[in-house]
Amino acid sequence: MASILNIAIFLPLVGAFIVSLFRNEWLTKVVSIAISGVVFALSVILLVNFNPNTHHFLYRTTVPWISSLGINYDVGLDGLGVSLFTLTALIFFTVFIWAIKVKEKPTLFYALFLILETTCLGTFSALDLFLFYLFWEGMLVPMYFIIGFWGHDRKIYAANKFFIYTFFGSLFLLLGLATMIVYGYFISGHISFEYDFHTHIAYPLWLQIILFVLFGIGFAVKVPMWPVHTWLPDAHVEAPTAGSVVLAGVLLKMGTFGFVRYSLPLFPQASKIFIPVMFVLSIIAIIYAAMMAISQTNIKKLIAYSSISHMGMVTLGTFALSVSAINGASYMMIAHGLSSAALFYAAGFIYDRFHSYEMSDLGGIAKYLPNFAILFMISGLASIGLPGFSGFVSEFLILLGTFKYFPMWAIVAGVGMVLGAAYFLYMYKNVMLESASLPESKIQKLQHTMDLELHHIIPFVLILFGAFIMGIMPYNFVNIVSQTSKLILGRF
Amino acid sequence: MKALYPDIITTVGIIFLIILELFLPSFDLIGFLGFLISFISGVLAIKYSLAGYRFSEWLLDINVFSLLLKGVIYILTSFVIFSSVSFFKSKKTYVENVYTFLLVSLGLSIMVSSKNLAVILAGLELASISMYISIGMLRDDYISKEASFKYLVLGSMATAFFGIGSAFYIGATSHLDIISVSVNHNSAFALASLFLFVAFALKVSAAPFHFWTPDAYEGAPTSTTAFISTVPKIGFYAVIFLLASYIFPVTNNFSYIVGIVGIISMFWGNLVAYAQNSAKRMLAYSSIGHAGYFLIGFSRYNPLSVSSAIFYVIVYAFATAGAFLVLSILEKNQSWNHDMNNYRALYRKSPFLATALALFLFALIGIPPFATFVGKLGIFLGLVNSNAWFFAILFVIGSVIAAGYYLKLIVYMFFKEPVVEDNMSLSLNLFDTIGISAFLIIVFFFGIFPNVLFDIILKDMFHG
Repeated sequence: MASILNIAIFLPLVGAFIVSLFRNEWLTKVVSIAISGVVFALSVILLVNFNPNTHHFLYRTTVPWISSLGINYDVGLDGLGVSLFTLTALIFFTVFIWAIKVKEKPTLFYALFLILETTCLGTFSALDLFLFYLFWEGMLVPMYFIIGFWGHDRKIYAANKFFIYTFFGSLFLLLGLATMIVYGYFISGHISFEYDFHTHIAYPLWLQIILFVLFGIGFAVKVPMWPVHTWLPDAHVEAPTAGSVVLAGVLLKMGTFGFVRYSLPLFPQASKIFIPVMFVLSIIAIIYAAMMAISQTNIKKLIAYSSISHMGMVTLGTFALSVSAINGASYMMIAHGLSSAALFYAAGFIYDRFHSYEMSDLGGIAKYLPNFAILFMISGLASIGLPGFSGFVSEFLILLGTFKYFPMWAIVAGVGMVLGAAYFLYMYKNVMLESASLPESKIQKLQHTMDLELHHIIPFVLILFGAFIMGIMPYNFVNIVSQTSKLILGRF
Repeated sequence: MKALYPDIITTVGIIFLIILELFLPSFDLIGFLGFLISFISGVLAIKYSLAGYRFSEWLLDINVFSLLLKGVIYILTSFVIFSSVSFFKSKKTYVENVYTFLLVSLGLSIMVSSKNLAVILAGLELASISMYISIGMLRDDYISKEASFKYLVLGSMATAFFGIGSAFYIGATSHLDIISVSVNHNSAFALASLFLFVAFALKVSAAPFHFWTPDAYEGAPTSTTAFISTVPKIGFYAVIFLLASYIFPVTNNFSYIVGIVGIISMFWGNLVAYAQNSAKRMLAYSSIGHAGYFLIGFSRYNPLSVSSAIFYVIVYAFATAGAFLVLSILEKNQSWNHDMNNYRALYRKSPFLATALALFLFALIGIPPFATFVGKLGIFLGLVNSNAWFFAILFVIGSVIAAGYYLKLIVYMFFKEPVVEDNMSLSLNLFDTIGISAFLIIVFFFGIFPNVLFDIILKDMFHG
């Protein structure tokens, strides 16, 4: 089984080489879709075979790599890791199908996404700090070019802003890693980048606080938490549809994943001290981003702000430090990955057909594109947490877990979630309904617009099916992520 | 005795080339022979270093670490010669260029072979004088001659500082060798440290001693810039390592002076680089910024940070040389003047060159999986290890600032539309492609397997 994990991580990278070697458009697309399909199938095998009752990382491979610095090639998955791994594989599979009609530089487009897939999968499975950082930073360059090449009008500004913000955060993370490793060296006398090695070291409180802040800056930029969130709306609006989907569906999860995998178990006492800070920042993100979303007229920006709001819920649940809240936070990472990907696909479809994200240019679409209207509605409802979809389970668990210890915060956060329904329905009304007031010219145009095609439907169906399955049979999935939560809370 | 072979081969080779050139002034032939001589010496030096040869008689002290550095110096020189012959031919410079490069590397090689100040000075001067000549090699170009003269004047100042520093050193310790000495509160010794440090800070273009750098780098033929901005650095930092191990720790708080010069240099280089419109000049400022990183690495003496700094210097040399060589290939096109606007939509005209340059720039930013990242990580580890928090944080901030201007050039190459459509033809011959690819592979390889080089450095530096 361990070899399946390694194959799944590196197959896309091999694919990127093949693709850029042959530079044949159709071969590229076939190879990319096939490879991402295989990776998705492998990830499902890993998910199905996952044993949630163990206390270890599964599918582990450890090979010495840079021995003088104590660096190993070390990969393995825990409950949260395997869930995010499967989510990543699914999102990339749908992205490759969706983008099949990309016209501009298709080979490069697919090659960059394949590299990106390897780095994302690697980030969620690395158990060596050096390897983790390698994958974590490796995602920067492909994403930079994806935004810069295929973005919209202000793509250069957005790509640079994305790069500088993320790089800024990562360097603090790097400084944190260096500090941690040096402390480990003082304690034990040898340098080691192993994750396991560091979980067995009890850091003194002052050091935990320093490290928590350094790691926290790195993760918070990626999440993104208020006040370092400003790169996200720009990056989302300017990125191509596929880029936005990966950004919202996978890359944002790296930040929250980092908090759960690194900050909580490595610095438990500091995490407790920082609960109020993280709560305040999370609540600000939830409420402020929801208010910002309501005031947007650009649908992609609206969805971007809704992402910030939802990620605020995730950080809130993470730092409530109860099993069900962390379960909920982990569940929400997956749920939000699915629903935001679906919403960005919807926004991308609208842009493909009408070449605008502005609500004033849109309206009355539902009457003419019924299939799309249905899927868009379902995506939105999944996002705002309708029972029956994964979003509901996660919100419920987070609020439940938070309410136990911090009832006031839970109530405020609950209010924030109501706002979620408000902005989505407001957007849906402006974009899809209101057909009565349409001018004649727009109706003419709408009548000649094609509804969803096959390469649009498959991604929608796959993603919404995932959200639905996770919504109606949550027990199995919660069981998997709760392995991680129990492991982490065992250290408090 | 075998440890001397690389230098002997190079010396004999240079003399042979000088004579051969009188009869057969062909760039291809001399260039190829120069490449061969340098490459063989380099491979031999590395082979002997791994085999553990050493030689310490007369005034020389060649150990495995200096053999390793010699190997890197010669191999890098051979790569640069390999990739620059076609550039020199297109610019119609003198054939001498090939053996001035070899002379520089011979000088550097002598410099790293000894702990004796007089021998170091001899090597330094051989390298420097050959550099002045090769910078002024574009005979019809006023800027090239000006650059050469400017470097001559400021370089001589460095020599003067080195001389006066040596004088104070001998006065204070009555030794001519750089060895561990114990002197308490000796102001002559403090002055010696200061002058020796300033001499090399001037040579490695650390601010505030950097004023020659942008002009010299911009005025020199671009292949020569690729050479003088990288190969000599390896030799100079080897001497700085020597100073950092024996001389700097003696005087109280001297490490702060080194660190502060490093920080000034880092911020000055990285901030002023934003104001540049010429890519070549921008890279010159980038090397001032990098001088800052390295000096910060040498400011605290612990095995990890100094060995990382040396590792960083070596891989940085390959990345920078690669970047300048891409520039030199572009410059073969007559209308190219390195203004940023020239780089608009380079990606469409030459995907290979644009991608290669972008990868070198990402390497200079310090992003994994490029080798420079490992150097940066090592310096971080070293700084934190010696409790130099303040320096570590400033290092982070400086690195973030630096990312911006490299991105600026990448943006021009990939995302900006050209102002006027021109059908500029960019000729790319086989040698250029092989040369650039070799640099790329090295920068990648040592990023993924840094231990291949890093272990040798770590072992040789302290047990050599």
